[in-house]
Formats: sequence, structure tokens, C-alpha cells
Amino acid sequence: MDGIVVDARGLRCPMPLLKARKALSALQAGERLEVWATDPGAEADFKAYCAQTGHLWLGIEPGDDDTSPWLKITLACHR
Amino acid sequence: MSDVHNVATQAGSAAGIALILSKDAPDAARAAFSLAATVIALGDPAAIFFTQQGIYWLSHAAQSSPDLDELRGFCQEEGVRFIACSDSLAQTSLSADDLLPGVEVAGAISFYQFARTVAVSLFI
Repeated sequence: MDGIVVDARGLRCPMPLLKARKALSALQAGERLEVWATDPGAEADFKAYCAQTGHLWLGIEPGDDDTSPWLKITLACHR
Repeated sequence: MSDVHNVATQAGSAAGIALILSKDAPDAARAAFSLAATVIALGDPAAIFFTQQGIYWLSHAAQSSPDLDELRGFCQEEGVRFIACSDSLAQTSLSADDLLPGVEVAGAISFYQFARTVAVSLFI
């Protein structure tokens, strides 16, 4: 993928958001960030984060290479 | 719908959170640090007023956990104001030197000066 991945699986809210924010600060406009999360609130929280900050919500899909379920959330950096 | 929109707009103009942490229980500290960290991550101001048993979380000796330490550290790095209630501090055996770096020691008036400017205030 063009961009970076933050593996926040197993972390409790709000750590996935805090780690994603740190990663986004190092990206250029338009670059992608993929967040891997198991926190059940991640979808709602990242949509709200995008709404407030202007980063672009690109989508969510189930992670597929593990036995326990997780989510793959993709954002694009906005400046 | 327009009323809802207006409320949101007004809250937006005074964004930020003021928290009072009064307990030494880890769950209470987690709630305070999580909320403050989230708000500051969204670019809005946040402060925690540590009072009564909550003072404990400002001490180097606090028995914490790695993830709670990380949350607290994030709050400090990102500019959450940590205010130790001066009266509560005086009731403990701690001195200002025993507190984490960057902690302000102040009274209720100082906290209120901040709290009156933000949208949300919570007592934990």
C-alpha cells in the first residue's frame, strides 16, 4: 500500500486514535494511513475523527489473515 | 433539526474539556486520561484538576500500569494542563517536588477560570 500501517490491534480506546494521529502528522496530504484495530468503537470514532479534522475516510473492511476478527480502516491525510 | 445544529455550533465555539479527578482508583484515572487525551488529539483544549484522592496520580510513586502510564504521558506531551489542587496537596504528605514535571499547583479559582471557557466539565 502507498502509505503506512498502524497496528493498533488489542489496544483499548483511545490508543488507536492517538497512534493514528501521531502517524498522520508525518504524512503528506493525500497519503494513506491504514489502521488495524480490534476496538469495537473504532469505526464510529474514526469517522467522527475524520469529520472533525478533515482527514478523508476511505473505508473499512474486515482483516483477513488472522484467527480472531479485526478491522482495517483506511484514511487519507488532509492538510 | 436546526435547533440541534445551533446547539452543536455553540458547543463548537467553546470546545474543550475540564475534568476533576477526585479518586485514586485506576478506572477513574483511565476515564480522565482517556477523555483528556482524546479531546487534545482533536485539537481542543483539556485540563484535569486533581483533587482529594486524585492527587495520587500526580505522584511519581503512583502504582500505575503500562497502558495507563502511556495515556498519562500522552496527555503531558500533548499539552493537557495538569492542575494539582493546592488544598488537597496540603492534606497529603506530598510536596510539590514529589509531583510530575509540568504540574501546576493552584486552587479552585484557577481551575474555574479554565472550566468556564470550555464546553464540557465532568467530576470523576
